[in-house]
Amino acid sequence: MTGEAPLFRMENVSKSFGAVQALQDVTIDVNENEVVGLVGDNGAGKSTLIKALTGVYPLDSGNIYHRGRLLRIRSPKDARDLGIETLYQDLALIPLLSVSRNFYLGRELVHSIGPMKFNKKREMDANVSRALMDIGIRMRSPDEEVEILSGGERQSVAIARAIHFGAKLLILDEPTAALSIKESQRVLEYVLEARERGLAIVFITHNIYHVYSVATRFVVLEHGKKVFECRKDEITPEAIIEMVKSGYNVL
Amino acid sequence: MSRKAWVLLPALLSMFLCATFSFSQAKQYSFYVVAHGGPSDPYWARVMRGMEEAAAMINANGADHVKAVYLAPTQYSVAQFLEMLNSAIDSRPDGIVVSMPDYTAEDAPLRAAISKGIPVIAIDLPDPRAANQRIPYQCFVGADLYLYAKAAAAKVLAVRKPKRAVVFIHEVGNKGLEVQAQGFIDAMAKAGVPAERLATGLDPSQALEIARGYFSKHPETDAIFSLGPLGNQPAITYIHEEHLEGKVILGCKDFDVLTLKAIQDGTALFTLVPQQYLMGYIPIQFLYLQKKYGFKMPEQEIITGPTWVDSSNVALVAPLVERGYW
Amino acid sequence: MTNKDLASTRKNQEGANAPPPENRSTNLQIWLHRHPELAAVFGWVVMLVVFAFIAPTLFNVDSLGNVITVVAEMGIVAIGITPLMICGEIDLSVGAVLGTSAMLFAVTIKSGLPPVLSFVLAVAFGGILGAFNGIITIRTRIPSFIATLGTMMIWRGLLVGFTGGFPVYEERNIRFFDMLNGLVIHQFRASTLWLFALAIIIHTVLVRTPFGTAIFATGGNKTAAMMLGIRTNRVKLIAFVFVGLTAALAGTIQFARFHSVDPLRGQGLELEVIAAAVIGGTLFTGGAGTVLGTLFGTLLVGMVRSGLAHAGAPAYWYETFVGVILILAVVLNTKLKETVLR
Repeated sequence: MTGEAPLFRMENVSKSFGAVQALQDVTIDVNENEVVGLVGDNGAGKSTLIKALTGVYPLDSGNIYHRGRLLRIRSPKDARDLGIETLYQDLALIPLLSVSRNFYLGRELVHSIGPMKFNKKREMDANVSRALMDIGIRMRSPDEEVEILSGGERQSVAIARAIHFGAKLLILDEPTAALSIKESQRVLEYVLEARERGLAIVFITHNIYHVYSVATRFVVLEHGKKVFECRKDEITPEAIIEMVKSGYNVL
Repeated sequence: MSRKAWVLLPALLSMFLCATFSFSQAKQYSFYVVAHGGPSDPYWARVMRGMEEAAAMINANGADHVKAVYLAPTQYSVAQFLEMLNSAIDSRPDGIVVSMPDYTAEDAPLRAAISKGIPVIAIDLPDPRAANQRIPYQCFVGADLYLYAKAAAAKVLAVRKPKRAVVFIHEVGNKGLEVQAQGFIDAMAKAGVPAERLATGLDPSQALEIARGYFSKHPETDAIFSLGPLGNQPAITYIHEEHLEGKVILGCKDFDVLTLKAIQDGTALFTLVPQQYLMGYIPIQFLYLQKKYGFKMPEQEIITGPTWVDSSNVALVAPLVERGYW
Repeated sequence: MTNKDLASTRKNQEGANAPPPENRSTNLQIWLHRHPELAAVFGWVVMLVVFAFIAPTLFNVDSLGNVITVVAEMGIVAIGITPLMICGEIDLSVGAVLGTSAMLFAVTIKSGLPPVLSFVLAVAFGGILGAFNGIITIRTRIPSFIATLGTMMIWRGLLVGFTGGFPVYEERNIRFFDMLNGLVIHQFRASTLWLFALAIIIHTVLVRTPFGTAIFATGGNKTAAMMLGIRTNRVKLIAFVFVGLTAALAGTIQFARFHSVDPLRGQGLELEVIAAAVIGGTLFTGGAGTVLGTLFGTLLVGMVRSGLAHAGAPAYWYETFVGVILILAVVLNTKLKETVLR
């Protein structure tokens, strides 16, 4: 951690839905080369916090900063333009399209003939193979349909895509939830790889052991408030589990 | 499914098809009847019957074998009709019997067939153009739909002059039906009676509701002309339900069991029967005799109808309606 | 598990061969999965073999030419509807659009307008009807199945009402008709050329352009596509317009052959072209489909009726056979996908 302003900072943010106070005065920082494990029971506000950061919901109060500069995030597009990428379970990739076309979706490399644009397929395929290989994913061919890939492979492709297109902050929402042990391990390796390349990562999960293996810091939310924060070496996974289960007061 | 199943399935399918079509039998004469209406319409069912029985009669003598195939779309469609006609012609049959719902579209293919030496007989609807312009088929076997629709109007007018008349047309756009509707309406208009078409559609229960709607809007209507069993049925049912027997004159066309009862109990004044069984029967016999003995066909129209069935002769005809001839 | 454990596992893998991918399908199965049109090709070949036995007269030059004529007219609409189905929508009004545009073409030609201008007008009109479908579906958010069922009845009703039930004929031989559907060699017509041109263009767009990717994305996972910046509504609207254009094109081409149009023209076409697309591997739920598959699906559907006629089967078997083939094709496609996705 250097002396300069954090990469992204949500300061005193609040959000309510009618009578329900989903977030109350929460402040959270995220920096490069770090994985923040965002934990808490259902309804704690994790998902609302993330949706506010990625432009899905507007905040009632509070601000978001990028290196000290105030941001206006009004839509998912705004968030993505700022380098904030989210990986949801089903919403990252289009199953019936190939890996290569998924990778470049919305950002294709083209050569134009008049008003017509044509894909530079070979170049994109080569780039995709290289990008995947780079973080350690082995794939038969970038033309394979995403549908054939296992859950873990899909997550890896999505992570590789985020890295390739220069995401600054990667938000992972339950990335290992539906995966086998072997697959989960693989995904965690890629998360580590992403971290080492300088990305900031927010990792939301119920599986404390998974996130513990890759996290640098933990933030615990409860009923919309931030109740605990510490570095990894200051706590054990069991303690975190206990805290989430029985409430902060136990500690 | 196992790999064996995937091999077995097409094999079984092929065997089933071959058995169905008994491709191994030798064919001596092959005739195609291509029409714009098919077995789903009771009118055409009798044409098919005529064709099948003509062929059966020839085959019964044992020496010759006639294969007569009836082709028609299930719903009125000139495009599908034309496709079937082209297929029939391309299979190089010994003769073609065809109706003329769209002479412009049929012009080129039929002229080509005739020039290749395939005999062609027209049924039900003729090519209306002058003799030197029309498709040169050998003869026409059918009824003059327009004229007899006018005659139907005349029959109604002979009873009394209606205040208003309506034609139940069950398939708008079907050339044959349109011509009949026009004939009736023209004749009524000439007599000073307001008359129009009512599109009742192919579904009998819906048709009944449509009829109800029309009559509530025009309660003075007291004459109906329906163009076939699909139109007869709602007309007869409506008259019975509203107890309008005697108040509304009903003229029908063709037969089904319901129409027969209507004639017998007086609900319908008459039914026009173009005797379409003959349209299926006569051409097959003609084509066979031509192929076998070289007889030339009469180069004119053979008018099979209409004939009128009303209370005076219904008893004669009744058993034949039930057996599907009338 | 500690960070050290993870890091060391990774290092081990970097040097040695990577473990085999999770999926155990053979390469052949994966290749078949990626080419769903093969089911249609296989089915078509089987059908040819069967017809070779029971309908040998199908295989002379004139017969094939006539069959291809039907396939071309149907295929133009089937290829037109494929992108729309890929992006997750459907259009049941194609038959009515075909009939209405053909009628407009006929009426304008008869009134003295130059044929080329009439043609442009008719095709543009089809595009407008398609746009109408698109706007209703997108704005009101009712399923396109319902919306186009409604417009189908509207256009058909207007057509029947406007013509009073009577057909329109054009008996003159108009040069332009030859461009649309004139005989080229034997019974092969210009419509076949139109079909091929359209097939090549649409295939290229679907497979080689970003817009093609956008079509697949919209149908495959609309929410994900939107989150990635694809303007899914625009994609769908363009696809709807395109269907209208191709239906109108087919209508004018058909008129050029028949020289007539009746108000029931095109009725029932929608089910045939949708069956053709689905048999060819286009998913009814969207997200997948190929031009080649649709072509073979059309070949299958288009040939059945003629083949049965040549075989001497009464024509009411036609509907039954198309239905059986449709179900078999979809089952085959589904089974193929399932074995690969184990």
